[in-house]
Amino acid sequence: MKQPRPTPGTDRFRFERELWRQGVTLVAGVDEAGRGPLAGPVVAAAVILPAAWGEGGLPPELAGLNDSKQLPEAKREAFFLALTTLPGVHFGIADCTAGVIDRINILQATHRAMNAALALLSPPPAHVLVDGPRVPTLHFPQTPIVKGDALSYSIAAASVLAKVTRDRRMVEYDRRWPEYGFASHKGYGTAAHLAALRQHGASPIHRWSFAPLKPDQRELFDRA
Amino acid sequence: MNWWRQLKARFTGKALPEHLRRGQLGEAAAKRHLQQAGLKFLTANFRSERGEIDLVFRDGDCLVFVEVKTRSSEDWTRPAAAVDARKRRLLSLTALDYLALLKHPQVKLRFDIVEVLLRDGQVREVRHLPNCFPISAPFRYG
Repeated sequence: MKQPRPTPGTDRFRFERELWRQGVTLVAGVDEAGRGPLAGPVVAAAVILPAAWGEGGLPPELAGLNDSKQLPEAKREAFFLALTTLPGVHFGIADCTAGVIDRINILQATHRAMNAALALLSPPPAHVLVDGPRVPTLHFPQTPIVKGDALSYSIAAASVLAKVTRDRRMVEYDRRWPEYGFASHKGYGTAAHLAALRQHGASPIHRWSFAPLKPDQRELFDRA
Repeated sequence: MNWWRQLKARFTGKALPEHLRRGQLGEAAAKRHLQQAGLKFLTANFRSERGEIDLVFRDGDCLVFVEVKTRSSEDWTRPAAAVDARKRRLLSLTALDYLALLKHPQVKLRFDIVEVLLRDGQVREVRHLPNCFPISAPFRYG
């Protein structure tokens, strides 16, 4: 696999640096994993990277940090270990279960998980960089950044934490419900997953508000 | 230890604890029974935040929520007696969550219980008790 490399010239601390210069040192990046899958929770992570890294650059353990979707699994695991052990990095990880997703919809559940992750940061952040569009319910001042996981190291770090945490959760669920193959597709709607759903029906962690499972009104009124 | 458990399950043919396996057996028998009775199967093991419903069928123009009770021997009480007020309330709320996903259609609905009696791990008898109880009041619809 081609090693993804940050293109020279893009400063991935540009949003953070701007805030740091204004004296806002506690800048958190927030990202989510698991909005699309048919099963399992949505997981959000928040990360505060030390402002000193603005001058010194990333430590060697985090060289090549990027959007979790651009990284191979081994690399993600290595970054997860580094991010959770390096001193000066603060992080919070939170989830929203499938039941909550069905009740309040996936977008609201994602935002709820993001707020929960931010609430876990022990010095609360003064400003938040969010991946994607604005989060109206966020409890902190925010800068929404479209494609933020490729433009900001803080958001990239959060995306790695969220992705690894969710993948580990899905591997655990695979032990409990081995018939679906959660360990391989992580709950996403692959052909194998859909076939298992047809054969075995839904498990308690499936999202009933998502297309293949969602009850359909047409089933109520067509011919008996 | 997971691989060991999986291996053991494969060779002994016991993937699940006894009571859960019995439950699955009962639900499969109940599903077959109701389909033969002409009900249209919609879904199994519906789960919302508030509870679970074993089977959902449609009987003509009526939505049917089914609780399956499987017992190995009928020694003291009927299986349906295990569906007490609390369980009815739980089923009602979960049914309302199902209807919410359907965007609150104007339909009739009822709650059935299916008793499945087992002897020596075999299905001996399936009894369908239609319209066992009304939806627990108070509730809000729509």
